[in-house]
Amino acid sequence: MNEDALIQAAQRGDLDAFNRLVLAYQEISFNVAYRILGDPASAEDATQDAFISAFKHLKRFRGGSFRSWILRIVTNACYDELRRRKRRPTTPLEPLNSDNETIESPSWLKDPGESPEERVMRSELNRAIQDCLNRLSEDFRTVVVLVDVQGMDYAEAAAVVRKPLGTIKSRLARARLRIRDCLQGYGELLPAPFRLKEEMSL
Amino acid sequence: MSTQLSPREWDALSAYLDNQLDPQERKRLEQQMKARADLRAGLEELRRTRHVLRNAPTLRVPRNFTLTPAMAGMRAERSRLYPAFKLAFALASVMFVLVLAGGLLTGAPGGEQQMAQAPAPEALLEEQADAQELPAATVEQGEVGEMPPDAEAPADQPQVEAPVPEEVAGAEQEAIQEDQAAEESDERVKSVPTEQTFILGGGGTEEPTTTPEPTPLPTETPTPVPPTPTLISPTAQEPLPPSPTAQPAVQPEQVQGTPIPWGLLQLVCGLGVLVTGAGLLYLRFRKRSRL
Repeated sequence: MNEDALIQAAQRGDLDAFNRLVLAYQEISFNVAYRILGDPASAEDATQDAFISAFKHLKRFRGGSFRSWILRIVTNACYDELRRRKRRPTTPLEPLNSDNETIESPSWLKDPGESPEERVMRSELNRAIQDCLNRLSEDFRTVVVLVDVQGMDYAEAAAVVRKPLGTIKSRLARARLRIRDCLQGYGELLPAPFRLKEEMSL
Repeated sequence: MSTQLSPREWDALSAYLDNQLDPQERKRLEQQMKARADLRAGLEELRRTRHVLRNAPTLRVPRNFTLTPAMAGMRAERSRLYPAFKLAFALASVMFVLVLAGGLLTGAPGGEQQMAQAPAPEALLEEQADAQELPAATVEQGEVGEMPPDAEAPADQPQVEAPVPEEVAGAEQEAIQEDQAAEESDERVKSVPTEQTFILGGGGTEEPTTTPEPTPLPTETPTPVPPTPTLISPTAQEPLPPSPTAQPAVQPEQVQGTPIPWGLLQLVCGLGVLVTGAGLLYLRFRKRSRL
């Protein structure tokens, strides 16, 4: 059954059809939510809330890109969570090591196939990227996550955030500049293939 | 240094990197980059930055985000009718048991007999007659002259000696002859139950006029008039019009019970249907609510 048929069946109340769509889009939805929110627990909640909301409002979907429609709901759920954080700031219950630093290799990031060195490199890169993303404003962060992290084109990103194409271009350019500055600050903490200054010196 | 670039130039470089410039702008920017090193350096910085972001690890989903019916808000909608049918099923069951028990207690044997025999098909009645060795069955099967001598003879009963008009007897003979013709075809007998009823009734009235042997026939005729307290009456021996309710196999002591009124019978049957329907709906909605 193709996506259109699944969507139509889901719009008639077929929960199984909708769950097949969920399985198809849950990974990108969760990753977008994680990059916007910065922690997996909140991303998990936002993703689940987004899919529940999507099923309840599925009849409002009038065609077009279903992925864009789902990701728009996901980003809105993330914005809601960010607004809640501003109203009620909390201290995340991240696991800490003996130096009182957050452990950045939770179980969901482990890949049994990679070596310890690869895992460390991935962990360091992930930490740097997420830290630089967190320093961006919500609007800039969302655009750079959609285009650079998820590889969407400008038109699809514009459909997700419901902004004109020119806005996407300018936001993305400014977001890239800020991330460039942030990543340069990491210097040698970044894995060698991703050190901007060394790359630039070549 | 690329930091000397204007925001507009950064926008153009970023769009150029993603191939989002129209051909004119693209050509103009490429010409500028040939002459300016800061533009080339800025483009390279953006390209490296994008490379880092595109290599951001993809997280595995910690679990599936598929929805359950409860999460989708479907459970409450489906269970809206469930309690109503559950209550209806319980009430109907209680009423059915009460009415049935009341009927059995008040109009016990007769009512039970009627309830059991009223809707019974002809074939079933014949089997019952055979199984219980009822005189009526022997009359029917033995035809004329084959009446067993040891059949129970309620000779002392007054209704047996009741006078029977000869016209009636003649009519009974004709009925018997018709019955003999009808007996040759089992299908006809089974499909037209009124003929057999007529024969049985006629046989009962015929016996006193032809042979002194008593027959139980007078006891068979009362069922068309359920409210009759005593089934023994001169009119009961007259040939009755074909009636599907005339029953052959009736024990004398059973006939004396008070029959259940037709309205009560209808009520019991209606409650039975209601209980069955409510039960099916109850099971259907219970199954749905467990989805």
